Amino acid sequence: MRVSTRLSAAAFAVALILSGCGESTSSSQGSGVKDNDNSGTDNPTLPTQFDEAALVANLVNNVLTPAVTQFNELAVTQQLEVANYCSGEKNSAQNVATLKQRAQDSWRAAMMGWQYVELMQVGPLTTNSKELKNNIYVWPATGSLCDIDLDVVYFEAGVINGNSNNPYDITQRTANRKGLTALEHLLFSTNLAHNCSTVNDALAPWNNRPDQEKRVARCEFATAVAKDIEGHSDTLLTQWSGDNGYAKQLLNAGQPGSAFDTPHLALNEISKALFYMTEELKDGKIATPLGLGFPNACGLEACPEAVESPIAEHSKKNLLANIRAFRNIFTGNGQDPENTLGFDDFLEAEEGDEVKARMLAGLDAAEATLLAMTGSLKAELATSAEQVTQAHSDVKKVTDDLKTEFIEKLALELPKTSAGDND
Amino acid sequence: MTKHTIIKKSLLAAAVIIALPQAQAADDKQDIEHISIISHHDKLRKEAGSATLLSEAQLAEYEYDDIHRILSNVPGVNIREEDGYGLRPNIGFRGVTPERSKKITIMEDGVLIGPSPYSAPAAYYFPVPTRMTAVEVFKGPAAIKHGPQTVAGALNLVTRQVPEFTEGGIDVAVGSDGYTKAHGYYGSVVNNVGFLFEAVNLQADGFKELDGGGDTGFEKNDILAKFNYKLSQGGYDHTFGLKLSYADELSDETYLGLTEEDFAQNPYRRYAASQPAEMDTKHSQIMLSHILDGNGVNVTTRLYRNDYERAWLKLNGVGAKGGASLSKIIANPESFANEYGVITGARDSVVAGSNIFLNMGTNDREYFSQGLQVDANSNLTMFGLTHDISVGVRFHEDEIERKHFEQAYAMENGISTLIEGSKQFTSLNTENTKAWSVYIEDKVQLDALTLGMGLRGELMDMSYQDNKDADVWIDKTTRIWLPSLSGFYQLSDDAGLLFGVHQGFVPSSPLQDPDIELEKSVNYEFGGRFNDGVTQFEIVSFFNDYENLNESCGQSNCGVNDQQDQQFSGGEVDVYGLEMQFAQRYPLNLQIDIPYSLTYTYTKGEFQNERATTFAQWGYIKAGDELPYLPSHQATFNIGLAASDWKVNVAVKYISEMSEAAGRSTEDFELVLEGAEVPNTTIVDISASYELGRYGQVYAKVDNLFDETEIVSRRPYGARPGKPRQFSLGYKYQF
Repeated sequence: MRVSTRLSAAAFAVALILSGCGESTSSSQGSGVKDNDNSGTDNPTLPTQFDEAALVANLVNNVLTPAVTQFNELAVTQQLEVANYCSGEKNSAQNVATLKQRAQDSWRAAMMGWQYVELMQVGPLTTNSKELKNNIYVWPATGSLCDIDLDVVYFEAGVINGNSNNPYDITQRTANRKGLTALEHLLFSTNLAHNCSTVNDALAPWNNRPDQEKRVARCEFATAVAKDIEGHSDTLLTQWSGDNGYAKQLLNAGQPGSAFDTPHLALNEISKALFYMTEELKDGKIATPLGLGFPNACGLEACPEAVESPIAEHSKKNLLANIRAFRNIFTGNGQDPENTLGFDDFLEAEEGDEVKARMLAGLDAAEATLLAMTGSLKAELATSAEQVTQAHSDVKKVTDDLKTEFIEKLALELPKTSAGDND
Repeated sequence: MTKHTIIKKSLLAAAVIIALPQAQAADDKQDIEHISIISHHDKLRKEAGSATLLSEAQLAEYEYDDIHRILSNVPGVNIREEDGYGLRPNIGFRGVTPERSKKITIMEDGVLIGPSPYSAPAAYYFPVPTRMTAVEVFKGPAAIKHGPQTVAGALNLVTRQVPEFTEGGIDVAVGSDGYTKAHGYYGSVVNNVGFLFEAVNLQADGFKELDGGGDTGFEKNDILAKFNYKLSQGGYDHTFGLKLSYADELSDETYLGLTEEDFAQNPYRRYAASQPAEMDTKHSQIMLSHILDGNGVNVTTRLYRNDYERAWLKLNGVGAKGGASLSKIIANPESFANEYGVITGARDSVVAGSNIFLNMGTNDREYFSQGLQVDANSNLTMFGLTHDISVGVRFHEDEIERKHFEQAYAMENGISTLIEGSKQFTSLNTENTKAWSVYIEDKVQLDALTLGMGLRGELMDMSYQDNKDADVWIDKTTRIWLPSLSGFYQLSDDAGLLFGVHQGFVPSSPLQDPDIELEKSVNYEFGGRFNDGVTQFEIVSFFNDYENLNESCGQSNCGVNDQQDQQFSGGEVDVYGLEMQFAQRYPLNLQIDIPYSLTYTYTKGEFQNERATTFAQWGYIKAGDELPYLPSHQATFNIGLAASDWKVNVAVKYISEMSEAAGRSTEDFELVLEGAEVPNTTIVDISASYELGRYGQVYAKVDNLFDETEIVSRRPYGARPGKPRQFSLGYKYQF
């Protein structure tokens, strides 16, 4: 009994250490801990004096909306040029080469325009698992050239694989069979043979058909694809700039009816789009073709074929457009040269001059490295990986700051997809 | 005797056991190892809380190696099947998520046995049930003595005791799909030192058919050694014990399931992308114990250390990072035909215009769990009332170190091959908890009423450190007190009523944001019990009122890489239900009895508020939405024929359908398995045994007699089947 009594006393002694009743939690954390919880408290820890609403307004009106509008115009032009070219191809027009060149140029312009929008993936471009964005440009997901070749003959026949119960409807086709990726193959591939290792009944006759028939079949499908892109671009523009579009939601942040309780939350959403620079640009567009930790078609070595737009050899320009779009959002430089309120000004206001300077220098260095390449990224990789590796280092300097000091100074959130990356 | 003295004596005892095998004989009247918690007699149990005991004889009836099948005889247990063999059990009580059994307290011989019960409670290690001699389940206020997880209850697995006399046994079995079991033990007493050695080997080739060929089974080894030494001194009996155990597992397991269409064609198919999958684990335990017994006092002291390491290589994703999740690809194979083609091996990773590689992740983790706990109980009379007082104090420390990495694999001609040099580390971090816990429970006898009052306290110092970035760390300290009140009112010698109320709690792991509200609930139960030696009947209703239900995302329950280790709050939730057990024996004639029993559970769990979550099992929830993976009805009916030298048993288990997701998608979040249900299942197992007199016993059994092939779960990555019909034939010999 004495033992029990003493043990009870010991237990109560420990109990006394657990002072107070009910429950309590106290904590401390390191400077590197990000607010990544799901409790809905997304407000910055310290209130800022900076006019975040004005920053959001300038970024929306001066940078984001013009990019979306510009792409819509480019998509319309692209559709017209591709249709013109196809008309010439079908009629065996004398100037068909010129018409094709113009169609290709319209694709290049549309792709450049889209690469700006790639850096601005917010709102309608991210909902439903990026369905709208993927319908325009599916990268970094990939399909295969074979899939596109199959859709050429399905579209031509009006049914899928000879099944009359399954009529061809491009709006129902998966994103990797259409969009800017498919158009690149249809407009730029010089090899008219199909790319499938095994063929079905629909594709079986393809390689034995006359070249002119193949060209017409491809351009007719290209016309449909361009039309589909234009349609999705119209949808994007409506969802962005419509009466209750996403732009208005951002602009009205903090006001009744907006999806954003504060301008800071709206700004946070825009800042997340900048993280395209990490996984998609740095890892997907540069490290992957370099074989730098990410496998490509050649394994883990430099691989010219693994660049983003290998057929049109447009990868370098895509990268330049991405970097310039990043800079436009960062500096607030856009359509109206009078208003340049950007994240750089916000950083200055939050004593982030040094990180601002570093990031701008990194952007300049990355752009300079790319511009110093005489040929395309694919050509550069075929001769030497040195400059491409340098571009990777330049971009990494920017993303290192983006993931740390940039979001810390501005009390922004690290996107969940970047929380566990491989840096 | 002070606590320090007890510790010193325990350590001294271990030294004595090893160094002095010729020590003096102890009084051998005491055979208690205090590893089982529920009384093992056949009379009416007077425990106030809901407690269920499965004895060695019950466990031997079906010779199950799968804890899921064993627990089908316990009411109030909800389970999510996964691999068919129960290698990584998913057990919940009274509606808590069954996910990796992380919300129940799991013990072996009364000691926490999960790899890291505070810091990472997902029980990837689970003791082999084959070598257990009893299984105990506590719910309601009965769980307050066994934290840290007290919202649902506790599960205690009881290992074989060191025998008083020489005894031993072997149990060997073979079965379909390459199943083999070899199990043996031997124990004796030499110069007052008792010892027991036990070993189990289980293996199977697996019942799934892997694209490209290969096994889909497992091999498990489990070795146990126990020693004890008893002595009497000053009116007290002392038992000093040393327990050593080692377990390993190598299994060809994956999280990858099948599309609905492929499941319909062949539920046992496994895609080529899972060819390299492998789980490799090792577990070891050392425990020193001391039991002091006498003069109405019993004090048990245990000093324990568990080490566990595991590395699970499995498919994490396919294609570009940030692309569609595996769960989405498997749910929509037409929309992701290329990714699906690479997973099945129908398409190569590299084709013109497209590279789609397999991303295989190895979640390499090391754990330890150690502590010192002292439990005491005593009967005494104060103020004219009889008190049965239990007190306990425990210092426990556990830790998990994650060293996760990913590697790229290329699919070529249906074979998945590693791309050398593609290894990249992902999660590198450490979570640690140092916890003091105390409890006291006083059961006062007031005429026919046994009134129990209890209090549990937990003080947890937790730390998280990101091992890639020294600035990413969290330290937090949490204190909580959990009261309980329970009662048993004896109506007669054979019948009584029970009731209870207690506060439940689940610690949040060190990594979780300290601002997130802790999971707490107030749990009520009321019921009755009857046992006249022929008929046993118990019915208990329960109501668990959650202030805030939290869930965290692991790969197995979410399947979304971006959400790994995140915690989500579901707000207020009510879980209520009814549990019933009934058992009887009907004597057919003088030679043959018909034993039969029924276990039934009704459970309902409902959210009480509207909340937008991005948890892969919830989505956007509204008041009235039901908790996922919680069947409304579960029933197990056992019936047998038992003669003196032979017996036959049949078990029929029914589980009603379960939803795989609670809420709905929103514009910003797609709930991949919205509206999906796990269909209801009825599984029949049959077993028979025949005594060969002094030559032992032969037994045969068929699990899943009618070869039910329904989907048991679609998480994390597609539909998965339960175990198909499995025959096995065994022989047991005991001496």
